[in-house]
Amino acid sequence: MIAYILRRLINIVPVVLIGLTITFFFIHLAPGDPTLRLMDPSVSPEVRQQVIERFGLDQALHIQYYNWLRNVLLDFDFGNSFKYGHPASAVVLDALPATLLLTGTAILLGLLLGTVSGIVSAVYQGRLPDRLINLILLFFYSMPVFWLGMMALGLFSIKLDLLPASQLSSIYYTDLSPLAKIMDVAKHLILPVTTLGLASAAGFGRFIRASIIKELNSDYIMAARARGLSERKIVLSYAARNGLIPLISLIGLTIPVMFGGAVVIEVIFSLPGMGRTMVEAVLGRDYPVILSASSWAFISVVIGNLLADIGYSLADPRVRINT
Amino acid sequence: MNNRNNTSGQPLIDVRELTIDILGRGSTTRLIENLSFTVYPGDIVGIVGESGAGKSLLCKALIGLKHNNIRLGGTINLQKQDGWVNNIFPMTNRDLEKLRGKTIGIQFQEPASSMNPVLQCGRQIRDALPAIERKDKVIGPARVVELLQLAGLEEVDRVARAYPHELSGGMLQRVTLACALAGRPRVLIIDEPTAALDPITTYGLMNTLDRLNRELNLALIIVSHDLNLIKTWTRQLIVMYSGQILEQGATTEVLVQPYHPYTKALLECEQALEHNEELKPIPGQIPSLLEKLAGCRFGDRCSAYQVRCGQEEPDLTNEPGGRSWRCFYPVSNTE
Amino acid sequence: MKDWYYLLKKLWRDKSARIGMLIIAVVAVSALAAPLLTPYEPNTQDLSIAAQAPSFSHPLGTDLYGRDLLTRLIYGARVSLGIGLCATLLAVLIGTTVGLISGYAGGWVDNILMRIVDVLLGFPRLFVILLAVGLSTPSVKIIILILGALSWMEIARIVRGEVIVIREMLYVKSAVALGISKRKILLEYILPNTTDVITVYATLLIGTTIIVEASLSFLGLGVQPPDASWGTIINQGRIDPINAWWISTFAGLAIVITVIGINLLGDSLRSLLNPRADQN
Repeated sequence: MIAYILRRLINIVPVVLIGLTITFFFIHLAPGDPTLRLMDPSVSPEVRQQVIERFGLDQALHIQYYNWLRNVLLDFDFGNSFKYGHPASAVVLDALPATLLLTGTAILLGLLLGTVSGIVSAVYQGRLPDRLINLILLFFYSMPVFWLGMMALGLFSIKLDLLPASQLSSIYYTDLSPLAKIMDVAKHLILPVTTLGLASAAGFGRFIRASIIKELNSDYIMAARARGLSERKIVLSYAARNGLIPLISLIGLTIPVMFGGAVVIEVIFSLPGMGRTMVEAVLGRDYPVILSASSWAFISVVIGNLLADIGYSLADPRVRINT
Repeated sequence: MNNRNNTSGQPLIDVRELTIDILGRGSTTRLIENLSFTVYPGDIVGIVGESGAGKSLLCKALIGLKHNNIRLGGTINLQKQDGWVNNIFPMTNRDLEKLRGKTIGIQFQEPASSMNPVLQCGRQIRDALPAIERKDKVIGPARVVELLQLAGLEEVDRVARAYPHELSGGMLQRVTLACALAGRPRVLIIDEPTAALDPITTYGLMNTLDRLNRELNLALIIVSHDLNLIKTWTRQLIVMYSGQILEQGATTEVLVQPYHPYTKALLECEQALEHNEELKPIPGQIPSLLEKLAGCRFGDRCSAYQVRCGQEEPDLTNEPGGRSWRCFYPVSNTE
Repeated sequence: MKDWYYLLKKLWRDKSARIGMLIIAVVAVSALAAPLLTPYEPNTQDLSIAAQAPSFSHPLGTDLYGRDLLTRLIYGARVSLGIGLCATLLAVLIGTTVGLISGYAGGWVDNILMRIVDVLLGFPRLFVILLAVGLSTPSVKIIILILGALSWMEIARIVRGEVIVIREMLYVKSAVALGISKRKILLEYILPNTTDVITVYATLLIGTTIIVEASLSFLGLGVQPPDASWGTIINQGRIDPINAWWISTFAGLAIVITVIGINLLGDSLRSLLNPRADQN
């Protein structure tokens, strides 16, 4: 098992490197001059030239790539941000916790809501509770998450003034007691997490419903009924238990989707996360930050998938990992 | 049915005019029509019928189980530990749960698909125990071991810890048997015991069932298309064709001297197979359940077909001594 | 042709498919007939009637530049639906080709193609699309290209799976034995039998693509003014979400209703055409 995990972890490196290489050439070949975005257009050509030289942008592309790759591989150094001047890795690392907190809690909320509604829906298949839940899930499933966020923001923060509209913490955050600090962050997270959570709950719920209905129709459930097991036990420890196993790999697949959702949510709620950093970096042609952020996104996704595979093998005895 | 071997007292299950319909879009198909029979303690009843004619649906119906597209009619009365249940069909699922596994146990045909693939076998047997035994930390595991032994398994601990996919078909068959016995039923239904097994394993299983019948006085209902198996192991026989009982009686009597031409034809096929002779297939095909014609179901395939057979449907003729048949011109019983 | 008629008839009998088709028909027809449906010009500004609440002459109000919102939404449907359809078509084209080749060729071709699919699926899609769109000069054509080029992987996987099953069927094997050319077998024996799964997936993909495009335009990276997709309009409504609440609200509702219609149809198609639903 440990050997397997190690092997998978080592496999992450080439995948991420291929992704980064594609990204590297793509951004360098894409139209748009980073110096034009960074500086006042009226700046003299000499100064521009100096900047270009300092960042090595005048060199041939393959030399730039070689240097970049060497630094990344040896020191995990993506170079300094064009915009902020300090290392791009630091800029991105500063933004990572907010994104992980946001996506992590949102997935948990989505799983909770999705599982409950999926199970209820499957048990009442075709009857009123099922139809109602289906309708609600379809509604959230068909909704752009950023629009839901905007509507929630407009209603709860601006119109009703119940919850903070932006940032992860208040200005007076540093003066608060530890408990109050947690409460403060929680208050700031309610809207973004609920928005993202509802969107993912819709996907989870629909998936779980289908999965559990499939289990409920299988022979072993009929056999368990024939043995006189209570319906409660049949639903919870037979059908739901088995029907939720495929969910583990769905979570793995959802992580990249959540990153996408986090981008728009962070922009709407002005959260200092990776998504917003990324959008700003893309718009400002801040190459080192783009590449550094991409590497983290790629790594988290691959690790997410690895965790999903391990979880799957733990939950389903038929799937055993060959070490 | 009087001439049975260890008959005693009241019946355990009394099926009256059971019908099974499949509801389709705008049309219903009758799979089983007016089926009646009674099982007494210690009976071994064989139900023989062609493949795909709702035998599995019948097994499930006997304990009130059905898929959503199935409609059940008639009545099924049961003997439970503390009294008589008149007709299980109107009962709620919650009440049926108390009967299933406890009065009637059932073993489905594919042992592999009737076990939950992600739970250990021991756990699943324990789940089938009555609540008091299941929850007890000492009695629960002890009963699991006892049941596995009862089902004829050795290496009981290993089997209890194994997941279904880790066991062979024959072992799994016995594990499902242990599950079916967990509620101490007095009747056990076995649906197509040969479906997934080779002849030797089948023999071993039937031997175990026979032992259970003798030692626990457990009544058995064995449903199969395999006449040879039914002939060897059962005492009562019900021959079904196209959803109806065509002939019924003590197994030895029926098979030594069949009254119905269908039974006779079946028997000839069986004997031909056994002696490696040329097979005499029954001409024609099983009638489609969708287009029911007037007259005897077996009519156009029958060697003794007469005009009358195509015009009206014969009723079941009952003979004192428990034999009955559905034919105007029974084979060796000409008056 | 008769197959399609038969399928439509079956769909029409299904209540949710019927609702879905009606929604899609209304949106599509109004997109096509936009100039006939509205007396206003979508891009002509009139600041004297800027940000007016819904009224009799402007049923959904006006935007911040005094343009009739309903008109903007109807014309926006052309952009949003157009991008959704074209990008999906492109994705289907690429995905089907890759899936057919991968499934039929097998061996190392299959291996390499599926590795590529794995790697591409491993990346956060919106992230990559954002990167691609953000770094190019946004135009409708580019957006279609990028969305299509980054959405074909699931189709490729599904088609490959189907091909592997169909390839082993007797009628294909006998066609091979008869010496019919590979090309002919692929296009005339195998491809027609994969259309069901492709139809189901493509339908649902249109909805997803509309939402992704809206997200891009919302971030200012998609369709650029004065042209507007529904996402662009939502973005414009962000400037004054309280006093001009109707702009983002109605533009968002346009997306939600359209995508609900598409998903209703897609779900029904799935249960009609593809009983092996929800394969991953």
